[in-house]
Amino acid sequence: MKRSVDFVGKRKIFIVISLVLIAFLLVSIFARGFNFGVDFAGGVEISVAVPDMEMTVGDVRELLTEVDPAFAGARIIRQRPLTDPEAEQRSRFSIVITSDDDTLDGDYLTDAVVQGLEGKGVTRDDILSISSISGYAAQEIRGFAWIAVILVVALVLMYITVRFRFSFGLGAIFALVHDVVIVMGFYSLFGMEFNAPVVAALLTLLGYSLNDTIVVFDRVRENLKKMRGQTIENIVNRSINEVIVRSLNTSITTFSVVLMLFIFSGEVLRPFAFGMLVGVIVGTYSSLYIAAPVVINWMKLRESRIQAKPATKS
Amino acid sequence: MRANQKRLIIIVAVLIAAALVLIIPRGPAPEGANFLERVAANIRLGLDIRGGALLEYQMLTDAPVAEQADLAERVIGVLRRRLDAAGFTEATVEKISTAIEFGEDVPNVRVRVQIPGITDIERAEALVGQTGRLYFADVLDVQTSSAMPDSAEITPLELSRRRLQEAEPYWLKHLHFEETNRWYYVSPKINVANRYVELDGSLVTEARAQVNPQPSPGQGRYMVTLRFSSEGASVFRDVTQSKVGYAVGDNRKLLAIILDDRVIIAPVVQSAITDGNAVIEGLTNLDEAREVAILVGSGNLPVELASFNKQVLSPTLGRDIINTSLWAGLVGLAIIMIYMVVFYGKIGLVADIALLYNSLLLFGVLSITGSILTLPGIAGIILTIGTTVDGNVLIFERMKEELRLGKTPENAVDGAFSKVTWTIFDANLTTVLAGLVLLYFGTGTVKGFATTLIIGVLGAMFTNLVVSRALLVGFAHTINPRRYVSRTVEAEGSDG
Repeated sequence: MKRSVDFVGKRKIFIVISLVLIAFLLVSIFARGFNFGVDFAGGVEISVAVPDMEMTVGDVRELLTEVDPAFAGARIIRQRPLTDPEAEQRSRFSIVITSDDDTLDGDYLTDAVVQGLEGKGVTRDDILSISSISGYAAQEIRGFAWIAVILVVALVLMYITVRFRFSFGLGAIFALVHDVVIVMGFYSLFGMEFNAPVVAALLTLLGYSLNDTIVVFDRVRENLKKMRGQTIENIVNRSINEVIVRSLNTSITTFSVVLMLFIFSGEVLRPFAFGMLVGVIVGTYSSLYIAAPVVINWMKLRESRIQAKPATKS
Repeated sequence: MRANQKRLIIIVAVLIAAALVLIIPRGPAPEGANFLERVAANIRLGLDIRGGALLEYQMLTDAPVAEQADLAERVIGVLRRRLDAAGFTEATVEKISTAIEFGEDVPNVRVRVQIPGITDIERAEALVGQTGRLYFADVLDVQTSSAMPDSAEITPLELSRRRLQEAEPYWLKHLHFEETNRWYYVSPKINVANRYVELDGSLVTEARAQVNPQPSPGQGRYMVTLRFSSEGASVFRDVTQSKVGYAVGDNRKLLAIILDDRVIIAPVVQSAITDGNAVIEGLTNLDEAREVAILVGSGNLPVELASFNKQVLSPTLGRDIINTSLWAGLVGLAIIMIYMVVFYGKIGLVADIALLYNSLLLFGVLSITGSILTLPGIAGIILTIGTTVDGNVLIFERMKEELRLGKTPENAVDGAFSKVTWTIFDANLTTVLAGLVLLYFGTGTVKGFATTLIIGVLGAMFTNLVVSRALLVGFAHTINPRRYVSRTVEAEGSDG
């Protein structure tokens, strides 16, 4: 017979590990905060190509601060040069100013960047992109992010309750919250930019984690009928053993595509890919070690209540 | 077998439809384009890939929300005319309404202008962004300076008179301030024999750029003709009659036409115009004449606009993004296809075919629905690859279990599908739910992600339940059950 691994027996250890990790990441979230992109914080982001390959972030900051002191506090990042074989190699910088000051609008800052880097041969044509997001737009995106996440969680709880049972929905929600907190914590820990596509990444990861959880639950539901009379631990453990190969294969394949996205994609999609990368691992883990234990504990709790009732009568 | 024939027919029909949608050119393909570029021309790319400018404006108005939609439509009409006249024919102007309110201050009806391909947005913004009130004004002083001049040549008496008329003068730059650095000291009311009158831009009914048939010597060859409404014509007659009286070189002879806080043009009044048909002569190039005509003639916006957000991306950066994401997709696809064959052997090929099939289907649906492919949309496509593989893995694992129970390969395939259909359904429907939330509430690029995700996941369900099934049923007789059983035990042994 095939070998079976005891997944649920050590569930307490894993729950403790998860709780410790979550606590640690929450500290990071509250202490370090997030590196919000302009679409979240409001502000201006300018990407500029500089013919001088030797330019450093410090040089750029120095030149720009001479034009306007506002650049002293700007976030300046050196980006990967463009992969355009026809064009000469040029270094590329992203300059982000998040500020409520309305006088620092995109046009003014773009002119200032061109003016500051004029000596390095930068013209208006070297400005690769400008994003200028008003505080209102940022407020809307933030509002949207919360509503979207809460709505998805609520819809999922409803769907799973209808298709499976409430305890399964509860397990899925615990797993989702676990995943979202951990992935957000990793954004904070690594200082990865948190922008609007990251919200999409979080929601996709919710979908992915759920997908995984549902496949486990689907098997638990099937085995609940087949293995009547057995303890819930046994049923869940058996179910996990039956779907583990599928879970691993799916995670490995999804992980590899997202990894390619992370490696190849530019700065724009990298924050998105980062979240998915962490999310695929956390999502698979949580289906096994968070969602399933919650179901076990909930069902045991109910069982003991049912057993407790006649006892109080007599 | 009967059912499988039906399935095959559907599969082939869908495949041909998707391929035809992509191959048949709709709209002009770029000159000298190769096959791939022609196919790509059938898919609408978002500005974040193509390059271009996205300008979104909020309306500064106290009008009730119910009337705002109507107001936005009027704004769109004016902007449309301006952009068309300026030659931005590819530009789109649309109304954005958010489904829910995100806070009292956030306007939920907005106007979005998208202009593909351009990076010099200053010109576009001058057409769209400078969008407030259009009016004629008296000019009291003109100076050339890089910053706003400190003092103006004006008598204290004149200043106090204008103040009394609520027409206190102020400095305004010329529209093309970069070229000229010219400042005008203007007053919003025009002195007509000590009467102060207003001349609003809405009284202009028509403005056209034309070639001047008889240019004055030493002057530009282009001109703008203006026509006033009957009401406007009488005011304009009084204004020009009064201005003609001033000496040549007197600033008061100038009549400034102002849009918002920029002077579009300030021509010298040469003669009294009584019939409401004026000509602004001496423009040196057609572009300038056109711009003046557009700004003056396309009508006032019914409301002031303020920038909500603005994004510009150069086509160079766009090309770079396409290249890198294409690589990410292709390499990811290749890795998965190899992995599936290594892990599952021959039936892994079924998953590979399913992957290619769903990719083609996805692009076909994108093309036929005219959905816009954005950068996050590419991420959605890459995730779809994962979903398609996931379905196949589910099916294969079930099949192995069925084979382990001693079923024949044909029965194992049927058994696996009867059990796995609802699993795939439940698992993917939750992803579609998340996608719908994004599509409904999301803005701009995030919507693009939701679009490809939903199309991709639905396509993955079709591919898994129909295409993979047909292939597995077709190839069932070549599957050696005992071999798969033994492989499974090995594989799971090594996992545990």
